[in-house]
Amino acid sequence: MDVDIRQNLQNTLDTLNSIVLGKPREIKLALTAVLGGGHLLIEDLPGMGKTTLAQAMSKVLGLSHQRIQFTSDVLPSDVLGVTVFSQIDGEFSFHQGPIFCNLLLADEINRTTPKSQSALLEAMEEGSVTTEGVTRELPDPFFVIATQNPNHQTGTYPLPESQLDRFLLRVQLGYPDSASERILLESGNRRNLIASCDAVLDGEKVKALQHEVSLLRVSEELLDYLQRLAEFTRQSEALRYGLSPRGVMAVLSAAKAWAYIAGRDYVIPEDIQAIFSSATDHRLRDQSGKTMSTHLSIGEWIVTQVDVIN
Amino acid sequence: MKANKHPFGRLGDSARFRLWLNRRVPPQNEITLKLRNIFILPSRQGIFFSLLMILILIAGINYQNSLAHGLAFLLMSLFMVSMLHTYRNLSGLVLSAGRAGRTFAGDEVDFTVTLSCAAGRDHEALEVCWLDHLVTQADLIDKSVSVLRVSTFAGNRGWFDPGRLTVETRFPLGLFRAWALLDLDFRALVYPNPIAEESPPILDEGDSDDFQPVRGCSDDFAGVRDYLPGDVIRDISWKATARLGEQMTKEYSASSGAEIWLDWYQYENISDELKLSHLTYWVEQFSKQRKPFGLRLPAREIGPGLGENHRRQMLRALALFGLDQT
Amino acid sequence: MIALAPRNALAWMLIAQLVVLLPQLLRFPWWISAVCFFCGLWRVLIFQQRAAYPGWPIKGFLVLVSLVCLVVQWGSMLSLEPWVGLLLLMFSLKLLEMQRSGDVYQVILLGYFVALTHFLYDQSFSGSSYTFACVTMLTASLVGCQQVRADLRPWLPLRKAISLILQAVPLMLVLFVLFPRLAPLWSIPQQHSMTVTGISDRMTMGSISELTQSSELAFRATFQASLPNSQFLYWRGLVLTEFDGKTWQRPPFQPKNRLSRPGRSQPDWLSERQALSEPIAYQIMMEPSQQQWLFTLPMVMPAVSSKIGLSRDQHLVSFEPIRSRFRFDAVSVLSFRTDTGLADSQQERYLTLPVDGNPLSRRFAARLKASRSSNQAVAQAVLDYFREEQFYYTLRPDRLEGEVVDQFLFGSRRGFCGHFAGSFAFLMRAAGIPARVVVGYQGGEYNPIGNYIEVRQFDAHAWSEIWLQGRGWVRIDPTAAVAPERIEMGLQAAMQEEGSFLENIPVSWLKMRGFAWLTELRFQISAWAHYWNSFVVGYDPVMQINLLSRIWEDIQPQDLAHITIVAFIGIIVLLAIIMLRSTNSRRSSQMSILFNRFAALFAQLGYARAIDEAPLDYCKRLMSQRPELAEAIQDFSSSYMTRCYGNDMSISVDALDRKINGLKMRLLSPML
Repeated sequence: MDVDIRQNLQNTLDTLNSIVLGKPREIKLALTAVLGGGHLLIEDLPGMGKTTLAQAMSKVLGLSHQRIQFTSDVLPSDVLGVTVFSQIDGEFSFHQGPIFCNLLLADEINRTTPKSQSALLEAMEEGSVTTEGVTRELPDPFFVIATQNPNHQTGTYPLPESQLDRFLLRVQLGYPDSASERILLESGNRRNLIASCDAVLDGEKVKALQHEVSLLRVSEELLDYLQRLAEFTRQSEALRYGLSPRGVMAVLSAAKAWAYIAGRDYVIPEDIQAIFSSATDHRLRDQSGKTMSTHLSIGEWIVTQVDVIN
Repeated sequence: MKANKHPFGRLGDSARFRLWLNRRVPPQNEITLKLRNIFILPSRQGIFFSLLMILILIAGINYQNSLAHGLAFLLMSLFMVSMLHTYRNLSGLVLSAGRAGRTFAGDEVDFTVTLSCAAGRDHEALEVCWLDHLVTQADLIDKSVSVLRVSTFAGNRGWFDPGRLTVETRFPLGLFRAWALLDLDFRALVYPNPIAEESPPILDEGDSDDFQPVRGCSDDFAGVRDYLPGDVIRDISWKATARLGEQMTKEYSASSGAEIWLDWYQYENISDELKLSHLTYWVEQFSKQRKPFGLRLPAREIGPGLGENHRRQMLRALALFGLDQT
Repeated sequence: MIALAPRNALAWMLIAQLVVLLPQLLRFPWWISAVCFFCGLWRVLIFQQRAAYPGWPIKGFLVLVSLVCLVVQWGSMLSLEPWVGLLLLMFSLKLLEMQRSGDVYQVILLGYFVALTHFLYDQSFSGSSYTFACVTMLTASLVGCQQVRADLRPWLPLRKAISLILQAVPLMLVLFVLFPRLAPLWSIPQQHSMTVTGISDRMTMGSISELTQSSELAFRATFQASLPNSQFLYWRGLVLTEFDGKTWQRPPFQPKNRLSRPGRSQPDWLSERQALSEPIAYQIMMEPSQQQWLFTLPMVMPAVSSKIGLSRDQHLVSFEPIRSRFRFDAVSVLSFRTDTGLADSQQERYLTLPVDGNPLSRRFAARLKASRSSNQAVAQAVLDYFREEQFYYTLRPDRLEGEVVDQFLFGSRRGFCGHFAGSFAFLMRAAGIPARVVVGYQGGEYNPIGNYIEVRQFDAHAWSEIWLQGRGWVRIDPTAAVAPERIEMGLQAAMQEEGSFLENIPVSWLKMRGFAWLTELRFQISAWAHYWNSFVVGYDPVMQINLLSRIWEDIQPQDLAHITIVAFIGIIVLLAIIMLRSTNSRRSSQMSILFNRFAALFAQLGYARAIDEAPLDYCKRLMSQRPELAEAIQDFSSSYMTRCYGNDMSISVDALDRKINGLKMRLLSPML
């Protein structure tokens, strides 16, 4: 493994930790999503630091970024771009929307209409934008970091399961611990810090990291374990439906990225267990009335049910 | 629980049979049950069952009843299929020897046996026992490892070889009995049988009462021990009693400072085995009283001490006295 | 020590016992049921710990009373029923002393035997399915005896039993098809209380009318080629020659009229028969009638089977009463001449009438005889009389007393086939024409799905035969003159107006011919039952050889034993391979086995791995809990992780194995 690039990774983590306080695991998960080549969904109540984390990431990763604040009147063309007739040239030309960037911050994605949501999510899946019959490639790398409020908040349009499936990981930030909160109170708004910090990575480095992650070794035993987990979600009566093959692949790429961040060149079951809940909670629904013990999320519960060693 | 008879009947006693068995199923620390070491024969019920199916077949022939033929054939097939299932219930099972217990001669001794199997296989209704001893029930249902305690009666002092372990099953129909006779290469240390006597074999180095822990008359506090009937109420350590939940008695060490030695040579005119038994008794007594003491045997001397390791060291020396130490 | 039977096994056994006993209790006298339920109830109370086991005086009393009742009920122990009754009683009484698991086994084994007795009474498809369900339940209770942790898995015995039976079925089928079928080894008690069904050998005016109210199956006939026309479907049963003024009966036995048996010298009357058309072959599957006569189309050829003879009166007779379903092949010639040279002495027999009685009829016959030129014309005149006068074909005739023929012919004039055939034969004899009555069945329903004719009891019929010079015996059916639709369309059509078809049976499939799908369904079920009867129930040595010779040409019965053994062993080996392979495919990987061994070591010390505990986490926990072993655990875990998950093949399985053994030595060697 390249020492330089590893050092960069560590710096990235350190910088992010200095901005978003007391959330090392969540920050690691966010970076996992990026290295795993997937999109990240940050879900929590307003004011928990979702946007701060997203902004800090875009800054530290050194990628060209855009931000869309979703509201109920955002139209698909506001996201993708619009074709206008130029009086000067006498022809139609395409004005790129904010989506043409490396890292898109989609704030409060569930406050906009399903129409705009799906315009964005189609682009996320395809990696390209098609308007009026012309397909335009999005830049590479391309990520979306979306934030959303919990669905039970008023004025939200919950994302359907099929679209939630496109996010590699879903991270919930939660309340900070008291020590971090004290520092926060003493030092004021963290967003000022973002402006002052430097980019640690850039687009090429992120791509290199992603490539390295994809080369990690995965043994038969590990795949067996992963398949047992997937099989369990499909057999269990407590779940309404099982994990899709895309979901299983998402778990694997997230586990690889996690293992990479941990400094290993192979994946172990602990990696899967670490990211399993983040990678699957938004893909699965439990059967009402057959809920497991209340303090575990669906993903955490599944992990407790499947034998690691066959 | 029931006592188990030798699965090979009187044949099991013959030396040639044991030789053959040793060749076929050699002693090993860990044994996987397979075709080579599993025996299977119809049980008594199985023999009745085969008589029954012959009777039904005869009835079918005599009444020229085709369906009765069918029933007889179904039972016959069931018989054969159940044989395969009974065999399968043992095959693939891995037995490994665990810890062997320690005991006194003539008492029960425990052995730990670990049963394990490939995941996803159930092994039901297994019975594990030493020949001619109590049966321990076991099963591997929804789990792949099970740790069993199998006990038998220990013989004389020294290293005790419990012989062959029987693993047996009749599941699912009870028509066949599949079993394996395994030598897991166990050995347990058996201490001499303690035999009580009046006074300990202590070399007289002054007042013979000195060996007794002195109660209350000294300020040299030595510790607390379990309450024994007859202890003076004044000596009960209420603090320790409250903490441990059992009555404890304070103990004071003798001020004389003389070392206590259990001495082999104090005995006269009794057999060596009886000497060992008496010494064992005193080792146990002194250990209970938490009194430092030493042991002197021909060609072996263990200095005065206290504690579980000290006790075991002494008992081991007594158990293996005069025997090949390996 | 006594091994007590587990409660779950007892529960299974009680259910199985109830299921097995039920059909037999319905067949046997009520008091047997009473004893069974008494014992069952007592046992259930013991099971619920609300009653104690009975002492020996009660048990002894029950046994004694049961035995006495058995003997009183059946008189002797020579027939099958008291033995089956004894079995049922033993099976129930055993419950009261069933304590140990050995007793449970005895009861279950007896249960298999009770299941066998079902087949002696009911061999239908549904009955057999029920019995095999019983066998499954009994097997489930066997599993219950062996089961451990029954509270966790109460349904395991049934599931296990079903899977065992399903695995046993292929083997059973092989044995069923191949196992040599032997002749009975010795004679055995037969059922004696079976009621005689079907046509009786006496015909008092009115006796057939009971049969016409029964829709029970008499037999099925399968034709090799095309079916004969319905007016040829006269299934001849037996010939009644003796008339006493009221009742037609069979002739007493005469040595001259001995049966033609296969393999014996042919009686001379056989050579007098002349066939005038091509023979047609068919197979008849008769339901048990407890009687000896068989039903065939005239003129039937002598049978090939050694169990059947041909009587002087041209019908087939079985040497044994038909106690179980009986299949035989027959060949008939529909156009024929028999007994063209009937001896005078014989003719005399067919002319005999009581000395007096029925004077009106005799006078009527004499008048006809005087006014007609030929015997044939006399017969025709009688038929014309039936047709032209006010005769009615009805299933509800008036009761006749005294001079029955006179009363019928000149009084009521209402009757069915028996009346017409009986009085016709009387008139013929009175007119000096040799005549006799034939009883059997007429018609039947064609089942297009099974391609056979199904003849039921209500198809029972009686008709006459008269002897004409030069033509021999000629069939005359006077019923056809009165009610031709009875012959052409069957009884139901003939009784349409009167509504008396099966009037005692309120609901019958057979009455619902209006619904096409219902008829279709009835045909389907009937055909399925026929296949079941032919190929499963009727699977006999002949069929076995026929079937197997399609695979192996010129197979001999003595080869069967070898083939059976080879196939039996072959299938067992196949099953064994399948079962053992299925275990291999589920076997965990070598790495898992290694790690499980490692975990088992620590499990003994109380540090079992939780199932969701991943290997590295587990090792870390062990290291913190057993710091003195930390180094060795670390050594193993790093090697294991690199090999298992890092795919580093330079670490051999043996090396890992040695590390485990090293740990084991340190953990388990007795402390020194």
